[in-house]
Amino acid sequence: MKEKLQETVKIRLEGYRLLRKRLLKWRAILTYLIIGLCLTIIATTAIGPVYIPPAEIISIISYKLGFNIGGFNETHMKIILQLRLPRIFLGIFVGMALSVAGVIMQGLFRNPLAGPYVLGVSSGAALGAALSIALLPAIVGIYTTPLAAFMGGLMAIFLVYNIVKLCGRFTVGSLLLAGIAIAYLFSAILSILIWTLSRDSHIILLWIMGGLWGADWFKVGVIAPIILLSTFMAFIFSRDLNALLLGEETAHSIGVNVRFIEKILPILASLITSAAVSFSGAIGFVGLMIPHIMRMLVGPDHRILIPSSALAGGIFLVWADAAARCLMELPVGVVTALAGTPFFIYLLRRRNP
Amino acid sequence: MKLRVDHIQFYYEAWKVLDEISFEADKGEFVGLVGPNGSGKTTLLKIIDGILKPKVGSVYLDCKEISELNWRELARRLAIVPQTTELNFDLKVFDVIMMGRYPYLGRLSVEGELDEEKVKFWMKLTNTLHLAERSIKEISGGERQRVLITRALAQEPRILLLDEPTANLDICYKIEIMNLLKKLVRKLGLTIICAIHDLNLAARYSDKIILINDGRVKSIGKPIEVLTKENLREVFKVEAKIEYDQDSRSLIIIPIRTVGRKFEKSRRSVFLSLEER
Repeated sequence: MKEKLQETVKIRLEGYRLLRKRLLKWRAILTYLIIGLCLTIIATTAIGPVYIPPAEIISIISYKLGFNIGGFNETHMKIILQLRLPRIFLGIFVGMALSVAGVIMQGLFRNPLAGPYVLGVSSGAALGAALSIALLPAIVGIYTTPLAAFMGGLMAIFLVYNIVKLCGRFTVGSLLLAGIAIAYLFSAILSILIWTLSRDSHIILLWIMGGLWGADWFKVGVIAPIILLSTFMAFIFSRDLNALLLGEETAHSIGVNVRFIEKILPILASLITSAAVSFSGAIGFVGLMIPHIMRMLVGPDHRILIPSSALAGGIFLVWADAAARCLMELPVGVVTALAGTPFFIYLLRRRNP
Repeated sequence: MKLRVDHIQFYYEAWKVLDEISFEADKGEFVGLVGPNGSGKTTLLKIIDGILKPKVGSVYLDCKEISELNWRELARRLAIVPQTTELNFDLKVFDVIMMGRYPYLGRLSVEGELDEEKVKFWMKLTNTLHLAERSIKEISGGERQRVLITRALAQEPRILLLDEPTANLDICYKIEIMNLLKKLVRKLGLTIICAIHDLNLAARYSDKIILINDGRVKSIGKPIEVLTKENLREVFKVEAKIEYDQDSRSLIIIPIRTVGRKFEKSRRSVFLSLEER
C-alpha cells in the first residue's frame, strides 16, 4: 500500500511534462505562423509594379482602422486597398481552403497522394467554368464563371456519392475510386469542349491553370465565411481524424462514429475546395504539398496540423502569387508547382537520408 | 462487469459466418478463443465490440444490451486491440496512448492533468513509459504491441478484447505480454477475451476456453476439458499428444500429424509421382 502511494507521488512529482511540452510547442508554432502571416501581408503588399514602402502600408492600414498617423499618398492608398489587399486576402483564404481540404483528404484516406481534388472537384469546377465561358451569357455579370465553377464542383461530389450509393457498401476506398472515375469523365468532356471551341480555349486554359486575377472585396467577403466556418468544422473533427490514423477498427473502439465521419468529411472538404476554386481556378500543388510539409514540421496530430496548415497554406499562396505578379503575371498555379517541387524534394531528402 | 453473448448469428452477404454463439464471461476471467483460421473468431470479437451488428442475437454487458449504448459509452466499457493496426504516420507513443482518453473528453476539450496522470500510470504498469517520446514506427514489434495494449487500457475498460496479441512476436515477448494480461485479470478484475492461435499459450493462461469451429461453439470449459485429443482431431484435423507439464503447471499440446484433410490425398499422389521419377 505504502509502495503504491509512493509510486503515485513519484508520478505526480514528475510533473505533467509531456502534455505541457506539447501545448507549449503548439502555441509556439501558431504564434510563429500568425506573425509570419502578418509580415507576409505587409511585405507582399509592398511588391508590385509600384513599390510602396512598408511604413506607408502600415500607416494606410491604421488610417483605415481609424488611427490617422499620416505619411501616405492617395494613389498608393487606392492601389493598396482596391488592388493589392483584396488579392492578398483572396490568396490567403484560397491557400487556407486548399491546405485544409488536403489535410482532411489525406487523413481520411490515409493516403499521402490524396489532395483536395481527389473527389473530382477540380474537374467538375473546370467543366462548369468552361461551359459558362463558352456557352452562357453573363447572367450575373462577372460572377457567372465563379458560380458555374462552384456548381460544377458540387455536381462532381454529388455524382461521386451517388455512384458509391449505387454500388452498395460505403467505404473510403470506393469513394476514392468513384472520385477518380468522375474526374476522368469530366476531364474528357472538358477536352472535347476546349478542342471544339477554339475561340475561347485560351481563356478556359488560363482558368484551369489557376490565378488570383480580378480579386475584389466582394469575392473575399463571399468565400471568407465559407472557408473559415469549414476550417473550424474540420478542426472540431480533428480528434476523430487522429483516431482514424490507427485504422477504422481502433477508431471505432475509441468511440468515434467512423461511418458518419467518413461520409461527412469528404463533403466538407469538397465544399471548401469548390468555394476556393470557384474564384481562383484549380490552383494545383498547394493542397498536396502544404499538408505534407506541415506534417513533417509539426507532426501528424490534426489538432495542430489543421490550423497550422491553414495558416501556412495562406502564407505560401500569397508569396507564390507575389512571385507570379512580378514574373509578367504568370498564372499562380504554375508558380506553386515550380516553387513547390524543389522544396518538397528537399524535405523528402532530409527526412530519409 | 459480466459479458453475455446470446445466440449470435452473423452473415457476410449470404454466407453464414457465426451460428448460435452463446457464452458468458465473468469479471476477472481470462477467456481464450481458439479455433482454426476462418472459424469466425475475429468476427465474434468485432460483434462484441459493436463494430459489426449481428443479424440475430445480442451482446449484453451487465444485462444491458450494447446497442443501447452510444459509441463513447461503449468505449469506456469495452476496448479492442485489433490483430493489425495501421501505423503509417509518425505518431509519438505518448500521443497514441493518449488517444485512449478520447471517450472521456468533450468534443472541444483537451486532455488535462488527470488524463496524463492516468496514462502515465498505465504506461508504468506495462513498462512503456521510457518509450513515450519515441515514434511508434521506430520501436520493436513487442514494444509496439505493449503500446497498443496500453492504448486500450487507457480507455479504462472493464472488458478487454484482444485479437492475436502475440502473433509475430518472439517467445520472450509472447510470455511477457501474456503475463501482463494475466496480471491485469488477477489484480484489476479485468475480463479478457483473447483470440489466440497458439494452443499452448491458450491452455496455460486461460481460465476458460471457447473452441469455435465453422462459426459454432464446439466446446466451452476449462482448458483440460476443451483441449482434448478428440476435439483437436475433429476441429483442427490434427493428431496431438497432450501432456501435463509440472513446471508451467499447464497442458502442453504437441501436434504429431494431420489427419483427414482433403488436400492430404492429392499431395500424397504428387509426392508419389516425384518418387517415381
